[in-house]
Amino acid sequence: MIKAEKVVKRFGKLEVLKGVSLNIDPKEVVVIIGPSGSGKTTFLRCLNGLEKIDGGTIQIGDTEIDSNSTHKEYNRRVRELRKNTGMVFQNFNLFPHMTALGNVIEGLITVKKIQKSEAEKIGEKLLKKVGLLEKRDMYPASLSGGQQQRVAIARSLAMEPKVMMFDEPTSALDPELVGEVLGVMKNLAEEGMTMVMVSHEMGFAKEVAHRVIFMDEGNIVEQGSPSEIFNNPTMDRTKRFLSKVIK
Amino acid sequence: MNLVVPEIFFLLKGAYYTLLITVVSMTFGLIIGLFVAIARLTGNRILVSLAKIYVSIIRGTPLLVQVFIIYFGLPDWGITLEPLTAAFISLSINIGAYLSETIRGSLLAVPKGQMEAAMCLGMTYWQAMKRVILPQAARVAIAPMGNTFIGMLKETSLVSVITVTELLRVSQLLISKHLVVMPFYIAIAIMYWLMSTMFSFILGSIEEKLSKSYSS
Repeated sequence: MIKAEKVVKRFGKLEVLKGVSLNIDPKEVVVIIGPSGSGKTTFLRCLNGLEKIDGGTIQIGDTEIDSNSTHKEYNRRVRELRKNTGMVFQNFNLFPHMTALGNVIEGLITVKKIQKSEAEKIGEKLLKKVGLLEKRDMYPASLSGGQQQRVAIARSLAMEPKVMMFDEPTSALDPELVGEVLGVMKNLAEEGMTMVMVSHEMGFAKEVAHRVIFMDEGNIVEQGSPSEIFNNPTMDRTKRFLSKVIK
Repeated sequence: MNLVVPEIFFLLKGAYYTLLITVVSMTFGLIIGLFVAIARLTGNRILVSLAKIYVSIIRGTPLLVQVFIIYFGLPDWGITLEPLTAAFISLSINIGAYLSETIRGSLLAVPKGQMEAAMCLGMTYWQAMKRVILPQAARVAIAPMGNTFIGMLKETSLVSVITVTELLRVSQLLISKHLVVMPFYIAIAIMYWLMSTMFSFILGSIEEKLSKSYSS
C-alpha cells in the first residue's frame, strides 16, 4: 500500500530524514514512535506531500512521487496521492467557520463535486460513526478537543481514503478525552483501514498496532511487532527511549 | 438653508458621484489588493519585488500627486482620460496598495494548519483559498478594511481638482454661483458625515455577522 524508498528530507543544512525506507501492507496498522526531533512527524508529512522530499521516492496505491520530478509534475502527483490518503493533525485543524457537518462535507462538495443534499447524508452517517451526530450544527469552537478530533477523523474519512495518517492525534487532548478518540481509531483499525500513526500512546500501540517503528535522528532504528519492540528491544537506543517513556 | 434646499438635487448628484467613486475604487482596489497580497505571499522573487515596489511607491507619494499623474501626466504619453475614469483608476490603484497590506496581514493571521488540512482533503490551492482561507481572513480584515473604506469616502474629495463633480466640486460650483460660502460647505460636511456614519453602521453589522458564525 505504501512504499517509501530512501526518503531524504532537509531543512536548510539539517538533514531530518536520512534515507528512510518503509513498506506498509494494506490493512496494516503501523505506529511510529521516537523522541522529538527524530523525524517521525516529518516522515509522516512527507508521505502525503505536506513536505517536499529531497531524495528518494514514495508510492501510495498507484501513485508515485519522486524527488527528481519537475515541480509541476510533483505537485500534480501529490494531489493524486492525496486522493488516497487522509490526514489527522495534532491540532485538529478543523475549519472554524463551518459547523461539524460543514467540515465533514466540505471535501465532498469542493473536491468531489457531490450535491449538497447527497453530501449531507454521507456526512451525517460519518458523524454518527464517530458518535457526534447530535453535534452536527455546532461550530468547532463549542466542541471539546476530543469531539473536534473525532469530527476531523470523520472529515478525512468522507474522502474515502485508502490510508489514514495520524500525527500525534491525542497529544493536544486532556487525558480524559484521549480514550474517545482512540476508541474511534480502534474501530477504524478493526474495519481494516490501513493506518500510519505517529504517537506516544504506547497502550494503543500494544493493543491495536501490527507493527511498531522506532525512529531516531532521521533513521528507522528498529521495527517489529509491539511485543518485540516493547518487551524485547534489541537496540540500546530503543531501550533507553522506552525506559524513559514507559514507567 | 434657503439657499441649500433648492439646490438639493445638485448636491445629491454630487453625493451620488462621491459614493460611486468610493464603491468602484473600493471594488477594484479590493481585487488589486487581493492579487498583490497573494503575489507577495506566494509569488516568485520577481513578482514579490514588483508587488513590494508598487506598495512602496503608492504609500510613499501623496494621493493628489497620483491623481495628477494619471489625469494631467498621461496625456503627455498620448493617454487622455475622462475625469471620472481618471478618478476611478487613480483611486483604485491607490486603495489597492493599502488594502494589499491589510489583506496580507489577515491572510498571515490564518493558521498554517488550515491550508494543510484543506490540501489534505485534496483541494487545489485556489479552492483552499476560496473556501477556507479567505473566509477566515475576511473576518480579520473587515475592521481595518472598513476604516480604509470610510477614509476613501472622504478622500474622494481630492478628485474635485480634476473637475469630477463629486460632492466637494458641487459645493464649489454652488458657492461661485450664489457667492455664499458657509451654507454649502456645512451642507456637504453633513452629507459626508451621514454617509460615513451609514457605512460604519453597515460595516459594524457585517463584522458582527462574521464573528457570529464562529459560535453556535
